[in-house]
Amino acid sequence: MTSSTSASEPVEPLADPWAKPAPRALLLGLALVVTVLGLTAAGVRALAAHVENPRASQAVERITSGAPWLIVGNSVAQSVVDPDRLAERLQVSAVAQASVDGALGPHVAALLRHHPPASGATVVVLMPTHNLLAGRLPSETDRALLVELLRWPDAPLTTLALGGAVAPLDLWRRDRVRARSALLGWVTATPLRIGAALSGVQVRVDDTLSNLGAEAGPVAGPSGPLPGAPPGRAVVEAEELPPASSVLPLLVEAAERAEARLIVVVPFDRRRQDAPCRTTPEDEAGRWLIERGVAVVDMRGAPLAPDAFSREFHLHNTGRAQATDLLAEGLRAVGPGAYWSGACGR
Amino acid sequence: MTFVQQEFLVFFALVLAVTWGMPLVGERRRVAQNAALLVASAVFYGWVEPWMLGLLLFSTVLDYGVTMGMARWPERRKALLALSLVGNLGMLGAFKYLGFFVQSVGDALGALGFVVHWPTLNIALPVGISFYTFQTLSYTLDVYRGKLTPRRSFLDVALFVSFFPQLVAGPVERARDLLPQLERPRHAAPSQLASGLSLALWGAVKKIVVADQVALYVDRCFVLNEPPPSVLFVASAAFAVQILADFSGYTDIARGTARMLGVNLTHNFNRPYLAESPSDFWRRWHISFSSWIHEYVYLPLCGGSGETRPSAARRTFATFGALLISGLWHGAAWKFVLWGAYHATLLTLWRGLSHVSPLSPPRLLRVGVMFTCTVFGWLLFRMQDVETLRHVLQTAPWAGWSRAWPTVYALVGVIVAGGGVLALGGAIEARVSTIARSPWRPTVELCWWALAAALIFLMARSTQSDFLYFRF
Repeated sequence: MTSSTSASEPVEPLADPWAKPAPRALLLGLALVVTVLGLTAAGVRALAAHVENPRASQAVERITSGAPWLIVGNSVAQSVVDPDRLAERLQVSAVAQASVDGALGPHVAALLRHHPPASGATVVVLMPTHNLLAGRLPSETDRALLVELLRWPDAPLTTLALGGAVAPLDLWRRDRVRARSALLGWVTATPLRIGAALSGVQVRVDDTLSNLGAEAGPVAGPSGPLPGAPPGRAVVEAEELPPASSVLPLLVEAAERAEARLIVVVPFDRRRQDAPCRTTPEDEAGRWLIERGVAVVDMRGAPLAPDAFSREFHLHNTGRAQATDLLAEGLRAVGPGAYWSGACGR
Repeated sequence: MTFVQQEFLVFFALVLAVTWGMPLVGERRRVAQNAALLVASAVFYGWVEPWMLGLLLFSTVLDYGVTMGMARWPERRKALLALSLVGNLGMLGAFKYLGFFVQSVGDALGALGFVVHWPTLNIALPVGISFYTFQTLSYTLDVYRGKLTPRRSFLDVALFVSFFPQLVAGPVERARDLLPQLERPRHAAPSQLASGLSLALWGAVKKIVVADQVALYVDRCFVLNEPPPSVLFVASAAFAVQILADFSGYTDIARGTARMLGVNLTHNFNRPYLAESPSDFWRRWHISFSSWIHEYVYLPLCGGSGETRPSAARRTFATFGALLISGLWHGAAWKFVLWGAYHATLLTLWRGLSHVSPLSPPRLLRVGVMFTCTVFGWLLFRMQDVETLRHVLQTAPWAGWSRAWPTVYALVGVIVAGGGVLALGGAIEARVSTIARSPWRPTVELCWWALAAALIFLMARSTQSDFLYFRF
């Protein structure tokens, strides 16, 4: 078998289509570029318009549920507090878990300022102090979550957290985060629904990433982290501010306006399990809060089993019951503008 | 600096402009291009930790000196090779394995009742050290074996060691493939630039749209306390998708950017999950590294260059030696040693079975069985520690199913979606050559660039994760 051209024959080099592109090919290509980008932009807007950020909407739903006690915080609060057990220990009708995975101080402030709790409610803010005092939000997801929680222009809060008013780019970022969450949620929710139908059971499907922790059972209840799992975000690189410049004044103001009682809880800390018994808060934020009549419950040094921790602040499921009991003791005991230390119980 | 940082886009645009915009011709242009690429590689590598450049320079100078010495004093080749091996592997050992070794010995002594407190080097693992150490060693080994003539140009050798597209996570290039390309004049062909961009974008899509999203789920499963085995197995299958997308994504970005600079890098993956046997898998997975191990570790351990057939016992010894080194190369932890031993066992058993079994199962079955074995290997590779394996082996596979099934189903969705994108992209990639000379190629490529940009924009996480193989 011989080839049609021998090696010694000069071969006409084939034209490089990019060296001199045909005008109609280029024009069609550019038209397709515009179409693809336009469809993507329109798709993001359309998808975002039909999807709410479930993290935000669930928290809003719970904080405005009328429950007499509210837990507001981030994944640390989710891993520490068993709401039903806490309600039982406090002997109150309900404790609503309105914590948002990944929330920082500005998110908590936005929740309380824009979605006020029932008058007379007790609001327990529980998150590590460095999260609570976080100022400017650098990450796109954090900014998008804040925009989700805002209901009207809020210059003091957005100046602190976003560096100014909500910009069109922030709205666009929010839509992008919504659309991405919707797509990812669909990826996990679809087989989950099929599996549930095949198994003939009901399953709670969130249409969010947390479908990994979905539980078979009635379609209700809080969506916590996957049982036994610490959350993905451990380190929050947000600027930490002194109390007077942080969200604390906004939180206190929001609580006063809603006629709610505010208690700030410093969470259990694996690194501070040997914290000494103190009768006054050792940090500036604690002192600042007490001066303004806010109760502070400091759980550092509380007698919690060391193996209860999964990370510095997060607890395993097995540690949650004991932690809830210890926390209930502090919440029951502390009075307005008082300090209660888990290390010595006062 | 990494490929998925915004800084890289600016950096690479500058590199492209300087490389192709030089108003020089001939050899002067080539030398100037190589010098510019060397400077760019130093900036790329030293962007975050400039001190790591010292190690790269040490390795380069050592092997340049050793190979020049081999040319000048051929009778001292062995001693010079030993010097290179001690220098390079000593550096790798000190930075990567010393802490692990000291801790392991300390643990062993502790188990025997002798408590020791030894100081360890508490420094960050230099990025890419395993890659460039092996790459530069291949140059010295090839010169030692007479397969390559030592290069006089320090510039060319230094660029070979530090060429930034493949410096930190491969492909592990051989000197005989890369050096000649760096020694030839290179010109900017529009098609080459376009196809390089297309390939780099496909790599970015694999990383950002597939690997980073799958990681969100996989990471959460592997930090569970005593998770149901079913969750771990399915999470390992998802990890199979993640690691392929992540690593082949990096490789494609590396190959694409190199192509835009006029350099062709080797293929590193060839649809590895379609492998029919363990040896087939290693011919398809991380090809540049596994062929390095084959040539420079396995064959010497077999006692020759592959021309004479070694005994079965010798081959088994060589297989275990090569794969244990391969496992340890991936990280200083027992789980990687275990992963290497697992694959060595798999290879040995498969080889033995194929000799005694008269059956030839259908291809689909062979691929399915091999994929299952690979997934179990990824479980060893990804697990937090060896305790996880103990938990899995001590627990019935169906234990905790009532709690686990929603997670398992959700993970199946992740696997199908991620694997689907990879399969679709792979199928299209295989057909790219059919439009190489078509006048409609600009239309297709423009459309692909827009689609890739849209996908990346939509799916990018606000906090980008590093490429998995940066850790090695």
